[in-house]
Amino acid sequence: MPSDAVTSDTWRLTTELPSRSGSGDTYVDQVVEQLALRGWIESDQFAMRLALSEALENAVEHGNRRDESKRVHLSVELDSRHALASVQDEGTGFPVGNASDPTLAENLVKKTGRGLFLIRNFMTNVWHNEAGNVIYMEKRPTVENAEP
Amino acid sequence: MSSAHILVQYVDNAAIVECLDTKLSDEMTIQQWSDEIIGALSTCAAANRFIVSFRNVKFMSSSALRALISLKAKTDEAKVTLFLCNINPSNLEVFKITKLDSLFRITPSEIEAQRALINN
Repeated sequence: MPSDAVTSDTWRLTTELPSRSGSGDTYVDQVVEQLALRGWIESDQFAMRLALSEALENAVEHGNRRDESKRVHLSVELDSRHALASVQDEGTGFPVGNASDPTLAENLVKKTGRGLFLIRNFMTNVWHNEAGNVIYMEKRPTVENAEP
Repeated sequence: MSSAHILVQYVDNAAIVECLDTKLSDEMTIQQWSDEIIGALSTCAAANRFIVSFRNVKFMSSSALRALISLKAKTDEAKVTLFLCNINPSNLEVFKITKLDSLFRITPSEIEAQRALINN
């Protein structure tokens, strides 16, 4: 069962999801709703939705390889100044450094490789565990939205 | 023609496909949406431009981009010019960052797509 709590300005979510595309959509909606309540502008809400959706899809497809016996673990903590999310799959991980650049001419029509690229472009900081089966994503609000 | 994910209208020599979903992110929705669009393409032999409108779409994931790349290949094969229009600023940013704005002909609305010169 997911657990979430609001402590002052902080909202937290920890849950496990089945290895099925779209299984995390409800939780992504919740995260975006919480960002909106805290005054995050629409482009930042979009960025968080994109990063979470891509990370969850990667975990289902590439991490757990759609194995329904495996779970995807989602954790989010956010407030008005900061959002931190982690997505963990139960796969063996992958060499993060090997991700190709989908914007190169030879990769432009390739059908894969954009998810992680987009996460890195839309988040403030992105890092992985050593095995490559956990992604951590941090987003800070754009300056125009930041409180003084 | 109407189906679960798209609405298709024919205006002059153009097929205009309106996407009805607000989110294109999970695989099942995208597969159905993609199948419907490709089905529409196969039934519009008289059209020389195929215009896909994203007026209702607030969010699309990289899986939707993948489906559009497949659609582009099919329109090229059919010698039909594909236009994408009414893409909101956030989704348009995704096209720009991935440089897919250089692969697709993107116009602000259907009108510009219908007026555009076609140089195949």
